[in-house]
Parts: sequence; C-alpha cells; structure tokens
Amino acid sequence: MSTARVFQIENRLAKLARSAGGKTIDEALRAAEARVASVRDRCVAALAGKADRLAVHAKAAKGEREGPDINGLYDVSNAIFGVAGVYGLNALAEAACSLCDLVDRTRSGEEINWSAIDVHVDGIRLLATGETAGSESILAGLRRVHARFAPPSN
Amino acid sequence: MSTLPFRRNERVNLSTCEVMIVGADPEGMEILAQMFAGFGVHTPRRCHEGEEAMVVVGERELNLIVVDSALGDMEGHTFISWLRRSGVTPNCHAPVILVTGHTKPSQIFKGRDAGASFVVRKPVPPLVMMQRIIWLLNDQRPFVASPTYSGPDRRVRAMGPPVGMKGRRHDDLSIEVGAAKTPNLEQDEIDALFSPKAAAL
Repeated sequence: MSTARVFQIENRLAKLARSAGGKTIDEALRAAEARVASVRDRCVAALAGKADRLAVHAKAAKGEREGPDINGLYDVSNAIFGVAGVYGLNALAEAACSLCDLVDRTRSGEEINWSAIDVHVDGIRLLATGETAGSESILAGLRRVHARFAPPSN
Repeated sequence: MSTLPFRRNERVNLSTCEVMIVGADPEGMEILAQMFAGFGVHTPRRCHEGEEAMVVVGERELNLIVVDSALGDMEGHTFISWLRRSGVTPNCHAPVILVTGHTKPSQIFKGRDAGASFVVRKPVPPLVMMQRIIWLLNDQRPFVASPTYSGPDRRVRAMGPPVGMKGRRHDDLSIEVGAAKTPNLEQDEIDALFSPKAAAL
C-alpha cells in the first residue's frame, strides 16, 4: 500500500478575502459584468479570425488523429465556444462545442467522417460573421450531421 | 437565485489577492482578466503558456490560479499536475480552478486527478466564477500528497469508505453503528429543552 500524507493547509485565499474592506458580492458582480461587456466588441470581432484559423487547421489536419493541427483545431473551437458562450452567441457556441466533440473523438481513435468536421468548420465560419435568422437552420444542420456521424457514446 | 452559496450583500476583499490566469486564447484571457479586475483583484497576472506560468509560480506567491484546459504549449491538467508536485510552497497548495470547454467526464476526471480544486465548464459568466470562488473560500478539505496523487482531497463529501471496505484513514468511521451510550430522551424532556425558563441574573 502506498503511503499518503494527509494534512491541513492554511486557506490563504479565504484569509485575504475575508479581511476588512473590499466590495459586496453584488457590487463585485456588477463591476465584473460591466468590464466583461466593455470588451465584448473586441472579443466578438476576433471570432471571425478564429473561425478562419479553424479552416487552416482543418485543411492541414485532414485525416490525422494527432499532431499540432488537430490539436489546434480543438483548441481554437474550444476558444470560440468560450467567448461565444459568454456573450450569448448561443448558436455559435453550440456549433463550436459540437466540433470539439468530433475532434476529441477523432483524437481518441473513433472513426469520424472528416466531412462532418469540414461541414462544422464551414458552419462556424458563417455563424462567426454574425448570428442572423439563418443561424438556427445552420445549427439544425450541424446537429443532424453530428447525430449522424457521432452518435452519443455509452 | 435562492441556491447561491452567498448573500449578495456579503463582502469579499480580493484587492490584495495575487491571481494568475493561464490560457492560450487572448480573448478568453481578456474576459477573465476583466472579470477578476471587476471583482477587485488589483492586477491579475496573465500567462499564455504553461512554461511561462511555471516561471511565475517560482517568482510570486499566488493565492488563486485559474487555468484553461488549453495552454499554448501543454494541456491545463499537465500544468496543474506539475504545480502540485513542484514543491514550491505555498503555491503548490494554492487553489486552482480548471476551466474547460467541451467537457466529457474523462476530461473532468483528468482535471480532478491532476489536483484541480474545482473544474468549471465554459462559458464562465461572472456569477459562476464568483460562486466557485466563494466555494473555495469555504473549502476545508485537507491536502493529500502521495506517489500517485497530489492535491486537495478528492472526497468532497465525507461519506466514509465504500460499503464492505475497511477504510484507509485513521479518521474513517466504520459503517457499523454501535449501540446508543445514553438513553433516548422522552418527548417531554425534549420539549423542556425548548421551553423558556426564568433565570436569576
């Protein structure tokens, strides 16, 4: 049996956070929300560039299961998911998350039709230019592609 | 909103906390940095790569580390695993929040087993991040250091060892409940404990 040491540590974060001063949580949340909103335009504008990088990675990684481009494909779609989700671009966020799942399955050795990845990249590039009335139909198409090529795993 | 683990008028002072944010995506970092600045953190330190973050760990005393699952040069859980075993005190014991995007259970387990204090799924709006911070403020889990794991105790709830197992820790309680050592109170005795009594001052 391995030897494990179990010991208490001082919660220094709590000690500092509970010291006098600071803000009420309500004030902190309002300030954080305002600051996050203040960089919205810049962050959303960068999404189109990220979507273009997806296309570059997808082309270079075609058929691969490992390597910098397939990892780049995952990381960039993961970044798009994070930014789009924070700013309520839900169709784009869902499409990016769906692509992450396809790429992750490919990296894990599952047989995923690469066309499904290409279709996702194209859909994300369209959605990244701005969500419109057509966004829902693009997303519906991507959901069908995902369900067809990557059914839920057990 | 009744499930929030805090009162909105509760005060929190993060102005002197040293926070490091690690992640490859510049916009993702910008959002987190603005969020923490809004919370009152003076200047959150940003690192885009794991190697850069490792250098900062050796230079500054950190109170909270927020790590994205995707760093420029390594995965987030690799950095956390290094941090926990780095021996750089007190930073190796600092609370770590791992932020993940697409989250399969296997990814959550990877983060947990690397030693993350908490795994948070993207998107992370300020309310969710604040909930996790408050949770960390109240975190009293002990730290475990073993050849196979280093990090906060992964048993968040003290439910004892699994049924049929003896338990490996000195404070693991047996699942067998012993006989009561004192007699049960009668209902009127319980009621008497709640009824007001005159007290001589």
